[in-house]
Amino acid sequence: MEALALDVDSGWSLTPLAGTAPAPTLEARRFEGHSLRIEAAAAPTLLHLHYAAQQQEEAPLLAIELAPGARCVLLETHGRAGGAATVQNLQLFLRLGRGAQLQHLRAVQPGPQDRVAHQLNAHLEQAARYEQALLATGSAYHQQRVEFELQGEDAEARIGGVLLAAGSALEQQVQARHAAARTRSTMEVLALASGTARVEVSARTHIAAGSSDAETRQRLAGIPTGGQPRLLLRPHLEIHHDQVQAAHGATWGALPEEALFLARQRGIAEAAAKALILEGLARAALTRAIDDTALPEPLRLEAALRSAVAVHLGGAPALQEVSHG
Amino acid sequence: MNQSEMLLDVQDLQVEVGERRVLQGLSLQIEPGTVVVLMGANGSGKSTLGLALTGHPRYRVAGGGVRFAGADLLAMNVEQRARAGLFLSFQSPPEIPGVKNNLFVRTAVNAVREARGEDPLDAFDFLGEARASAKRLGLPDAMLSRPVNDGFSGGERKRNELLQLALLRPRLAILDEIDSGMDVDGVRATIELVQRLRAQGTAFLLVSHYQQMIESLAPDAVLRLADGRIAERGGLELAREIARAGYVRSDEAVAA
Repeated sequence: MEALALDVDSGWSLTPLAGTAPAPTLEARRFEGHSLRIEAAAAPTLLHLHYAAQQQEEAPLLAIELAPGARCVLLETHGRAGGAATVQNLQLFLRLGRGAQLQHLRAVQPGPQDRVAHQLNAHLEQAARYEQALLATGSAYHQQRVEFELQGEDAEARIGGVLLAAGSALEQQVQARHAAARTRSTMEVLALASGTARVEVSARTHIAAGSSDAETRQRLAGIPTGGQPRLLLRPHLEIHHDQVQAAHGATWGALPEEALFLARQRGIAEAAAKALILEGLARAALTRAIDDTALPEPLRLEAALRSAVAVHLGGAPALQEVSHG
Repeated sequence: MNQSEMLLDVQDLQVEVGERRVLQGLSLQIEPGTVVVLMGANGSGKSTLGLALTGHPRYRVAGGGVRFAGADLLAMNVEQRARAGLFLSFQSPPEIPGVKNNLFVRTAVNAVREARGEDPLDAFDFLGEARASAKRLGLPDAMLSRPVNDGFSGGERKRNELLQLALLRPRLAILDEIDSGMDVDGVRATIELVQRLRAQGTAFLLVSHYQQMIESLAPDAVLRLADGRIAERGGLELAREIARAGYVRSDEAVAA
């Protein structure tokens, strides 16, 4: 694969995977920022979008539009061109046309001194489907904010997040607005925190009047993995229609004791067993949002997750899984 | 056989779970390559024995001693006991979400192999062995790539325990009601595996209420556990007597 860095000064680079046709292009907009349009095609468009921070302070903006019926798998990763800490305020606008589908895998792992705020707004039209799997790690300041509007009937959004913070700060805010009948939203976040970390997760769903048979589900979980971290989990529902299904919950807990004992009883050292189990829990949370097992390896979050869990626990990554036909 | 040749030597073991003392001075010995059946009424402490021996943190040893292959078992942590060759099949095997079975078992097998001074199995050798063992146990191949016990039926979980047993080849396996939830093919596969490993020197402490399986394994000893102690020792005739008359009758007979 060859990266198409269409605007080298922008920080964005776009890499279509082999077989993707027609290859979309990043375009500079009249206002500061870039846009990307994905057209409908016989097969899903597979893209890797990477942003390398260019300046010590910056506010990149990108708008992505999926045409009606378009399908896309998008891996979004972040890094930085230089070594200095950055202050970043990134905005990402998504618009999914009728029946469009976007699987959005995101890995945002800033440096320890970076101060990062990402705001993502998604607008879904009739029968559109948006799935997001987010892997995020803590830094001096890191906020991920997602707002999605389910404007068309039968639109669906599914957000899965794994947040890891070891002595750092991390916040995720997810807000769903149901504005049509039979819309569905699912939010599931697993937060792992250690040391003096502070992790906050807020999930908020608003179901407007007239959204018959809307369904929403929020599931927030926090596991302290060492030290005295602060884990704040806030599920919230605001419902203005009677005929809906809603469930929400937040759980704080330890590693599953019996699973840990099983692993150790089979001879796996305690630290390795913890890493294996945490990675598994995180992987399960992401997989429930996007099952990436059938995706090409370069688009999966698996390796990044393994590495992030290992770093979080202060050790080496657990064994790599063997592929099994 | 003298004490030094015993694989497992438990002396006056006392175990507490919370505030309750479940085992109250239990002693037993197991030789290499033998099969010992442990029977007892519900709540008599059979599962407690297995979990205490393997070091479950909720089972506190309050007294007594245990030697395993000549070493002080109670001085070892959980994984050291496993690497020394002690295996427990769980009565209710827990699930590990997101951790694929083949990764979990290979990690375990290689941890144990490393402790034995053996080279780790590479991915392809492991898969070959795992698939062959799974086939013998009637475990569908697809179970290897699914998360550990996640969505498995009761019988599949037990077969998965047997798969780990087959691949880990321990010195002593404690099988806690391995037959519960299994169909007749599963029980047959269990018997075949126990016999095969036994022939290679693995000893078994089998907790079971299933008379047909006990008979098929021709155990070297049958022990009856009551009130946290070994109340009776015998052979197959003891298992038959318990099957015929029940545990209450057995208690009365011992009291008389």
